Amino acid sequence: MNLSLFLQFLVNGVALGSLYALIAIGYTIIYGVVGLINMAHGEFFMVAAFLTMWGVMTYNLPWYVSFPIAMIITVLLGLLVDKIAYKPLRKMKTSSFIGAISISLLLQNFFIVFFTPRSKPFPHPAILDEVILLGDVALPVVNIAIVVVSIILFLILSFIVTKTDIGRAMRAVSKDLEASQLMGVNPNKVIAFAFILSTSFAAVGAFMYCSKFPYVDPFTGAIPGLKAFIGAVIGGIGSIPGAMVGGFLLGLGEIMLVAFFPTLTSFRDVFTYLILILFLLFRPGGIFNVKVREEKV
Amino acid sequence: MKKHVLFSVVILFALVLASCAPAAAPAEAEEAAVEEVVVEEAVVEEAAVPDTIRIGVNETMTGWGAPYGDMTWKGIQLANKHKPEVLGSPVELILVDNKSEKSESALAAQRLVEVEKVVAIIGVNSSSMAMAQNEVLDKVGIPAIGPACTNPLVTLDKPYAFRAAFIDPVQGWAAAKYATEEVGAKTAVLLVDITLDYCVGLSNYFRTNFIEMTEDDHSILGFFSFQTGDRDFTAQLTQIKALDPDIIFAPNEYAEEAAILQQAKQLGITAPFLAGDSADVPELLEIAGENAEGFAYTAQFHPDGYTHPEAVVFIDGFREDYDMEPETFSVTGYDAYMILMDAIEKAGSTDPDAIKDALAVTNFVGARGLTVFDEEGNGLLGVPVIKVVDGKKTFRYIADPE
Repeated sequence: MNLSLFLQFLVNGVALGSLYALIAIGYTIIYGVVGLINMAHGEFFMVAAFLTMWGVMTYNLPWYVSFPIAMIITVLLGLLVDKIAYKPLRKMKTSSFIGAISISLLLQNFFIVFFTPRSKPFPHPAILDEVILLGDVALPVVNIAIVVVSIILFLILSFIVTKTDIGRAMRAVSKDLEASQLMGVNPNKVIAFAFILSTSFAAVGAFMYCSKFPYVDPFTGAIPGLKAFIGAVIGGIGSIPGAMVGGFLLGLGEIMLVAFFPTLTSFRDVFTYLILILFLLFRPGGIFNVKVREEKV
Repeated sequence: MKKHVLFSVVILFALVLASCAPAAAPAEAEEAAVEEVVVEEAVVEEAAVPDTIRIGVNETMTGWGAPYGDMTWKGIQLANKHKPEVLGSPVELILVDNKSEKSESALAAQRLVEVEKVVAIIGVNSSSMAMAQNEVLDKVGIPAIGPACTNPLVTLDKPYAFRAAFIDPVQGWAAAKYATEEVGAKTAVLLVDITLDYCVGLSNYFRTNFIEMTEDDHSILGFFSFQTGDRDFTAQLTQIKALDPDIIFAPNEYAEEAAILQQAKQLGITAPFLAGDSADVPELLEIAGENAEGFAYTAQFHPDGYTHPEAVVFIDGFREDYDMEPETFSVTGYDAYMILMDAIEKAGSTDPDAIKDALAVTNFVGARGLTVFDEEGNGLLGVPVIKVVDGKKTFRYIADPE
């Protein structure tokens, strides 16, 4: 493999990895605060992308109007789902997990029935379709945008978590729910804030993802949601840097596997699940070795 | 503790995935159904022509195959409008959605036979779904006529299974002919969705024919695969770019195909792409846009390729009713219905076995001209080749296998 070919794979892998990292953060924020594996995260992702497309297609809005509206609706939906479906089950670990799966299926089927099951083109700024050529290496503008947006969001998130009151409260709740309550933290407020953050990340991730892979349908969230979840587990679920690193390595690894072993393209997913199982068996805390928490839901 | 919880999550995922993956038809349930139905069938046979003739339609109305199912259903409805009666009784269509899943397709067929008591079934446009359906129908002896399903296994050794379409060996031959004669390709690469029988089968027929036509055992430079639902093809395409083939044969579903075309363009791949009839839905051009320029595929139909009266009736009727261009899936749905009606008329009864025997000797002029079946029940038809020029799908010629 020559250098330009390797760089081309690197360009592809970094973009895919950043996308996974962006989505993985949504899982980890919720898990960190509530202890819930939010299986419906991929569907929040889909809802944001789908509504953006719907606004453009049906109401002829430009994407920069349609996307913020879709994002707000997604955030509200996240809060609503938490209130009516997750909150009543919060004490029961298994039930809330099943509840999250049900919400995922419910949202998917709702969109199939009331909108359309057909894949539709995703509206995105035309500049993202441009490609910069560096010698033999093609560098799509959308890849640059994905990496830049991801970095900005990571910085914002780390600022929120480390420097603001609500961020400190989030960390307190994730360490010890009862003690933080005694210290005057309102857990409901913190959990609501976690859902706002998580769904916002899902919405931005969806916009970047669908700008790169330019179509959307009710199944859009399933696969990236699953991959990002695996990324979060590999990194150490509950840890924000863990989700970033895990998601990033997973995306990069998927591309590099094909780069170095072209005959193994069919085993791309096998590789992903294999890594997951190995991690669960031998290092359940993930790369960042997050402490096993017994009690939270 | 958490280790166990997470581990069970993984197991759960595996189960969910397994149910999404192409699973075998639910065998036991089928077996049970078979016996029940055989008993009921005897009752049906005694009746003369019923008040309404019930025809089942098993289609991919939701799931990844939704656009195909939708176009097929449009074609069937139009045919029903053009010929609403047979043997003096009105025809009633009963549509069941199989969610583009193999196991659901088998269940849909079972439901149509057992609950809805249909005399024949039209379906399914997708080969994988059609195979699951025909497995059920062949056992209970209800004739099925498939629209655009093209994998040979759909009708192989299934006397009750027919289809209003040519099969993939023919399509693979036409694609290889286009690649070698029109494009002048000496080398090719395959990029294939390995979870779908159609994609895998068609790519193999292309491979065999291409090697034969180029007279070079090494003319296929590489085989790359992915799975339905994948969206990132940059790794495979980067490998393909390095191989620098003359043509890339990628017979996949429309959404994946559109993403492939877009990413190939971004990576600067200039070799043309070639696909099969599953590319023939409007969404492909909507999503791929200008990235589809020069993209070619073999299809079942193009309105510019057929001018006989039956075709004109179909094309005009379709444009008028739906305000869109007829294509592969609508025409096969339309013809499947018309051929079935013709068979019921010739059989003079709605007895499934009589319909089956009449179907076997079909000699019917449909929207694609004279349609006859080979001994396995496959339509013997020409293969129109379509190329995207200036953002429009343009009819090139009909490849006629003799």
